[in-house]
Amino acid sequence: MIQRLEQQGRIMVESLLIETKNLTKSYGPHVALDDLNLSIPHGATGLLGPNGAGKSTFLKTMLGLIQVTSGEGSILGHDIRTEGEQIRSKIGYMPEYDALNPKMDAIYQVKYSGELLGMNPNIALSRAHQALEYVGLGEQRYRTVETFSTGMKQATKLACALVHDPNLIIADEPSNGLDAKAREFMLQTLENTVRQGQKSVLMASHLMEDVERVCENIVLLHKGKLAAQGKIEDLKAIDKEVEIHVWGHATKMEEGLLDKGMNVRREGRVMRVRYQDESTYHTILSIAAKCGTQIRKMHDHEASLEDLFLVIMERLGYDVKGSEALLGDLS
Amino acid sequence: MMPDFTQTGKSEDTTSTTKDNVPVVVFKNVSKQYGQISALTDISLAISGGVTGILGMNGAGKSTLFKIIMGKIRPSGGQIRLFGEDPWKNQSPYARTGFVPEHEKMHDWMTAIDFVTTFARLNGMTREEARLEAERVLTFVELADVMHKQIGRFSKGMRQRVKIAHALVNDPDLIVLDEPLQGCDPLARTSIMNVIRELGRLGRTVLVSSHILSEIERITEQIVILHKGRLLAIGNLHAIRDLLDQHPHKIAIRCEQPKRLAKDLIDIDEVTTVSIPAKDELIVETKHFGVVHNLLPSIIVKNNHHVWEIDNPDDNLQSILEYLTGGLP
Amino acid sequence: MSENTMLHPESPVTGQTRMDSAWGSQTGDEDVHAKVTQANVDAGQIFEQEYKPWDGKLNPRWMRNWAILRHHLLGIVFKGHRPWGVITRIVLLLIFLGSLSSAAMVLLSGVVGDSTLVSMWGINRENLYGHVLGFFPRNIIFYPIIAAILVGGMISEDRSNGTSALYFSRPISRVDYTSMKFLSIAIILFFVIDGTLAVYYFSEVLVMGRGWSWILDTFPMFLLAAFSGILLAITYTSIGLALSSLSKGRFFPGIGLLAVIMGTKTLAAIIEALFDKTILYVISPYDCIAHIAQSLMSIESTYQHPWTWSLASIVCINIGALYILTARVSTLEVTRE
Repeated sequence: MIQRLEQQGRIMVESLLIETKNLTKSYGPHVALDDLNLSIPHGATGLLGPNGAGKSTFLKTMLGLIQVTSGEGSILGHDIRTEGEQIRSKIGYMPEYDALNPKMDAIYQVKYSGELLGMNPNIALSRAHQALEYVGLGEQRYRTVETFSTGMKQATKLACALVHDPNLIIADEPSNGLDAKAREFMLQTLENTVRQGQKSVLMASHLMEDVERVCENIVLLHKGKLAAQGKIEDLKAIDKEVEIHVWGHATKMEEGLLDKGMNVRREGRVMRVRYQDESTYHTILSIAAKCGTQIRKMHDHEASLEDLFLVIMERLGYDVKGSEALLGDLS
Repeated sequence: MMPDFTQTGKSEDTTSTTKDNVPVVVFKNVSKQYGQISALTDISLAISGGVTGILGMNGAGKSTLFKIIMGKIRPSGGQIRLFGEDPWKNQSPYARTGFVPEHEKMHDWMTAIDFVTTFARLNGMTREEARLEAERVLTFVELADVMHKQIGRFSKGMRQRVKIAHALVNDPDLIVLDEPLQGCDPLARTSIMNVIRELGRLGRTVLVSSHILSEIERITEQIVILHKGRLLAIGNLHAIRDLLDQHPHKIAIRCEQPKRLAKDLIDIDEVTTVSIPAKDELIVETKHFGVVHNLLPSIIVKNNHHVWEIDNPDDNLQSILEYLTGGLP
Repeated sequence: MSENTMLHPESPVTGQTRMDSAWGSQTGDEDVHAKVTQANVDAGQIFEQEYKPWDGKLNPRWMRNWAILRHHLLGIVFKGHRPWGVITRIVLLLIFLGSLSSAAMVLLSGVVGDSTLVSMWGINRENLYGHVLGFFPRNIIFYPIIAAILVGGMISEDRSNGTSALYFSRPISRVDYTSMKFLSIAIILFFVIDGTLAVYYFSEVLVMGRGWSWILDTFPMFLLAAFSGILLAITYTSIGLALSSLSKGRFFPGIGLLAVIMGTKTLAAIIEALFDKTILYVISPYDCIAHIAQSLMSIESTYQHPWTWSLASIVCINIGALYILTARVSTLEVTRE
């Protein structure tokens, strides 16, 4: 059972974005969060896990909205048990579902969300202009939200979260339901916020491609427990594979590889050989030479986050076919 | 030792043919005119078993081809046979066919299982049979855990899978999918591709159309290329590539000492050009792809070259299309 | 002109041809300077995404709450705040004007100078009571309807739009949220009932030229009537908001409020007609308040039971409503599930 995959040679970061120790939350007999020990650094982190895994409960505890049963946690240096108000002043939360008044103009909606933080009305208004420009809605700011497409609504929600320039943005399924263009722009905006704006982002999403694009780290929750945590790069390095496309005598080739103790997966002409060290390539080519097989293609297989997720889930003992399982129950 | 395969496109993956050993879809000199416009000109093909991708840009004739296969329109010239029969105004071949059109109105208020069950009943099954069949096909397309939810709440990808599921009722031998990946998110795409490949593995004849080459490449190697109503090529894409021998094949190799490897490779008769575009890369050109690839592993191993990447930059649909159409869109 | 330079028609040009040199070229020995400016390309639609930070201060809690209040109150008149519907605003205006009818009558009677008019519409115990708690038209039309349309979407819109997430993901507590919403409605009702009452009172003072002794006499009554008005405003707000928190729609809370106010009164009236007992009036919020006001202002009671029962009842009604309200507000979600 994977509890936590340690990063190789990780340098201890002094201040973490989020840190929890034995964090537990139960609702009567149901344990929503089970003894979580998280260390999330600054930067962009993906929060993964099926519905029911405890993501929402986790976010609520992080926002200081619900009381934990036991354990402790801190976010941006504030204790989640006692400093909820300060936390919510320093975080921008972008909700998953509708969270806008359809009859209000976007600019006033964003302004109000700033005022609700305690901003002066005129400052809130000027920040609202800046935020809406930033998310690409400069031209549409005086339109009512009900005239917006889904992509524009998402962008407006992001603007509401950015209005006070928070150090951490929590984005809940930011690219859900968006068409290709809007999705691209949303991801680009989030990336930009991390790199140019130097902000941290905690992105809860089931779209692995998107998480991979924006985030450097991930946290995977499953049934309230921590299933995996760490830098995506490091997690991928664990099971690097070399992919080959052969032509002719594929079965002989596969057997040859297995005989040499290599870990091989095969789909017709395509095989993936577990990378052991630099000599792996040589081994593959020598076996090919012996079997008379052509190696038409050979390259390092860049595992996607999707693949990684499947491996982790498999190791945890779940027969999961894809990260769509992260959607779990449609609510 | 020469390997015992030919370059005409048979890979190790064998797909079973249909039950009666008659090609499932046969076109003989089929043409279709709409007034002055030729939608299809002189198309001859025979498709049987496995997944075949129908490629072509918009306007190439894909939809006309599909309409003829589905019996919606009649060819202006030539003949078509489906399971050996003329499908025009003939219901019998369609009992063994499932069609997944690009646009279809779905009944959003129904649950997935009700939708498919209703369809199955319309096909003459009893209530019990229909229910079981609906469960079977919905499980096949990996919608088992959400089959009791309303279609209106599904994502685009899930709706597509419901469409595919209902086309699979009664286990048809021929399944035709028109742009099945259109508008789907990445997860749905992977899922649908898996379903299509699985159908091919089970021996069904699957026709998939798309104008996105990378998608087709991930699904199948058997392709039909249409361009401006004409058939440009049909068969395994590597075999097609081989036939385009006026465009030599490129083999790209990344290794530590390309110059040393170059010396060894240039000795091969069939190699026409060797170039070194970067300090760790080597590109070989040859008109005899197979021969060179045959010799490659032993040469590398014998002379202890450190190679970590091999690629065929122009052995793909993109290049094939460019070469065939002279680079026209 | 010397002979050399005389112009002959055959050769109009003599000597050397005109010589021009470009402006700026002098001897060639100078230091010539050049500058190439950045070609100012009109980027047109190219979008530059530039993150702009902000390091201002956030004001404390009272400012946030004030923002909520402003949002709801200013929205009635100004754009850029909570969008009240056109119909709501019109009805509000009409009812407000209707509520001013007592003041209008005073002005009229002052102008006309007829003593019967004065005694009918002038300030006295009964009329002060009537302004707040007179049944027709104020408490059958004006106040219930205005309360109903005000509470309409107050809480339910945040539930259906999901804007509750906007509030609670910020440092706004549920208590703050509820209190400010409550206050915004109560304030408006206060103006409609007691604001107009004040106009009524002071227009009499002005028009009739009442003196200090009159004021001393009548002010306590005025205050008691105002107090009853506050009770009315609070009670209708409590019930209305509780209903708004129960539903997701805009109309149910308003209609529900009317149903509660009218329904309870009607039921009690039927019982009175049938059995000649007024006891059931304790379930009617209007009647409870009317009863309390009657006893406070020494007006003849139309009820058989003691006024303390009505007081107890109205307290219970308010507590009950507020309980429902807080319970439902605590279920407003920030994240899914």
